[in-house]
Amino acid sequence: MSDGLVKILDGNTFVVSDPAGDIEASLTDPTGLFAFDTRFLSRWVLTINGQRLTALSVDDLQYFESRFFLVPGTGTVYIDAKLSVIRRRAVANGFDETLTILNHDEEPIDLTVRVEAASDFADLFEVKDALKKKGAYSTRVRNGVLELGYQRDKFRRTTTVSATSRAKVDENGLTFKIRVQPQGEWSTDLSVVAVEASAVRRTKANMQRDLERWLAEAPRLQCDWEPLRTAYRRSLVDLAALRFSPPIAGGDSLPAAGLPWFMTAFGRDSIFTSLQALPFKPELASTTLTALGEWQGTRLDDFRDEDPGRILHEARYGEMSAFEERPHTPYYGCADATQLYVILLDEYERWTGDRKLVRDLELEAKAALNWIDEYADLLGNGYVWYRRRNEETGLENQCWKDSWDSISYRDGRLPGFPRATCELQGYAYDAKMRGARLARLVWKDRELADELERDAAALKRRFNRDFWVEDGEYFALALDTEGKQVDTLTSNNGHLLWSGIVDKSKARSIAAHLVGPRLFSGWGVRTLAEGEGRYNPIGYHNGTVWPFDNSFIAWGLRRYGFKEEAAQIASGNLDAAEFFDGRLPEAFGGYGREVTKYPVQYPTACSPQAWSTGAPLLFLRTMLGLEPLGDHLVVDPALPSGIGRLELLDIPGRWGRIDAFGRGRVSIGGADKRKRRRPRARAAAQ
Amino acid sequence: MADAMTDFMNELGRRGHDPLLRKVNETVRFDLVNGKTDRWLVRIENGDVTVSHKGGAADTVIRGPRELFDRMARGGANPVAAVLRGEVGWEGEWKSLVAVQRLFPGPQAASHGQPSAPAGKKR
Repeated sequence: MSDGLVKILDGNTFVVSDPAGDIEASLTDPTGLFAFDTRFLSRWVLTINGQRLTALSVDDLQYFESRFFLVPGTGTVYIDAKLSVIRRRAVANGFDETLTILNHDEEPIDLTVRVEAASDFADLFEVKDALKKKGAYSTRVRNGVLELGYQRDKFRRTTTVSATSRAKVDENGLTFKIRVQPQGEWSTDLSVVAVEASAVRRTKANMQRDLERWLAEAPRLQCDWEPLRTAYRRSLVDLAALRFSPPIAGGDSLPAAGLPWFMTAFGRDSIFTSLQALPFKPELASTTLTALGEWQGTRLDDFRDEDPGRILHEARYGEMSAFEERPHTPYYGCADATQLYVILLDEYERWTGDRKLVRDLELEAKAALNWIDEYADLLGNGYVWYRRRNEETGLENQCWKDSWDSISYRDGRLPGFPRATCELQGYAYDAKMRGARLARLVWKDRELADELERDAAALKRRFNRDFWVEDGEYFALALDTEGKQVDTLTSNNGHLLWSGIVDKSKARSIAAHLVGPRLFSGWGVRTLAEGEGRYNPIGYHNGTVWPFDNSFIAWGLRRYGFKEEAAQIASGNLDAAEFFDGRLPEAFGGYGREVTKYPVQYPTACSPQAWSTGAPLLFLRTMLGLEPLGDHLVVDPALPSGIGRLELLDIPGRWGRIDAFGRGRVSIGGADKRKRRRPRARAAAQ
Repeated sequence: MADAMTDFMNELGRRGHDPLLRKVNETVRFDLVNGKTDRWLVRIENGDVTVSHKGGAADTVIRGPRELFDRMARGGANPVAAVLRGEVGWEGEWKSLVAVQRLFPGPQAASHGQPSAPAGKKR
């Protein structure tokens, strides 16, 4: 892994350690055993005769287990060890670790093996923000089990550490006095249990078999460009790892947002990822819709920014959420997930034909549609606006570009609140159009369908008038409270194409911007165009390229018939994926491709990130031009030059299973992908 | 009987059908502890809510100080946070925690968030 850390996980239980398998966390260090947003183990250090060990290699066997091959001693160049040590670790109700020591010598050897254990019981929020704890710690040894405890009022968290072999257990760890025979081995099973978390956790019976089935049931990709096959497989495995079964979902899984910080239900991320994965893993959408529906807002709560009908932003289970020092039980401060919820429900029905779910969620979908007009229109002028009511710990920017300076005018100034960013209006338009379709088709509510379509048409008219930047021929990023345009050129324009809110007459110039020199880096579309006041090629939302963003932009371009431009964006991003062994990062630098020759990864704590994991899937959909039409799947491929053959077999849907074939037709310029191992730099084709 | 939880339970009993709970089939017992234990049994069948002031077997039992339940009934305390804090005991499926949360009112401090917005049709 790029940060040198080894991560294994199952749902929201995960272990992050150094390459030797040791954990030495500080308050700001993201290593440890985490479960339900709490660090249950912050120290886990193995020594043999007082010596630390050196990693020879690490096998990331599966996302839920790894194996560390070690030798005693550190810091030497030349290793001539008579001992090998293997730690095999798997996530369980905490984790299980089999420690094996092999003696390669001809003499027996006496060893003192020591495992140190401690926990700071930090809330994930405390680790991120380096905050101090308010409760009291306890440590005790009972019946050979080390019990680490933390208590604040009635909030209690406990970790137990035990071993199958005889050990001397003290308050700081376990000691084994052992003798290993010549050419012999010694082994013990260590068990670390996150007690309170294991009470609600559902262990998968056989994670290995589960993963194999997950992969076997996915459509098969055949392609003459090997890196795409690698990226596809990487995406499927990572998506399996990112499945998260929230306690309310009854054992079913939805995509969590990212490892390790975001292994939880996020409205926006779970929905976007479910949309990307629909042609491959439609069941994710079904769980996402059901679980988010159950948590849908029903009341007004300023602390949680909750409104009736609003879809949650983020749910957390740690100490700070429990004590309401953070509003995440759950927190509702996002202005797009509610519209996206309706969009996902409709797209899900179009792929799967599962009308039962659409009927079951009629109230939720209608409440979501009602939220758009009733609660999101803060200025009463027909647009979706956001302004947090929780001024202390709520989110300032409630759109996907949620960093503090992501919404700016050309000269770099930031507008006041509330803000109406453009993509929120696009999503609202699409939600109304799709809601109308569902109302007519499934809910048999013609009156609502007519009303939604009338509203959507009016919104589209207004929007194309008020947001259109005449002197740049694109849509403004946002409107401010005075109705003035926040006039920067941004990638949000691509989401507008995806939503369908763009007048046909304006689409060509939007498409030209998206693949033009100010936005397109050669690898992908920048979040903010070159030349804007706050443009910075490594600015989080001010110039970097986000693969997730790009995948929806490509879909948007396809929606308006710009096949070549969509293929160009898919091509750039997939070329970039090759530099990351098929795993697209959350974001990479917006430097021109001809300048850096390789994509510069944006330093971030989360990898894999769900919606980056989903991006290659959506690129496959857009390259093949997959679109459900009635009970059929339309295939209308437009491949980047360089991919000669692309076949996706056994695509699940209302048609049963179907195959899609693509042959190279679209010429994007640049070298043939099949003839090179690493994509070479080439100028962005216009 | 002026305490908030009693008023709330009586109101809940009069609610009859709650569409938000239409997929819920569950019996929830509330054990209100204040020296002695006061028990309420709430039965939800596809959203039809019936309330009895008595004990009995339940799928989910939520148990805690009476004072805390009174605050929940007034919208001043959040059930999910209270369970996570360990301030109230919880036996049963986590799934039904959301259903219980939905029974209770939100904080009264909440404003609509629309400073001067006339609700209704847009231009």
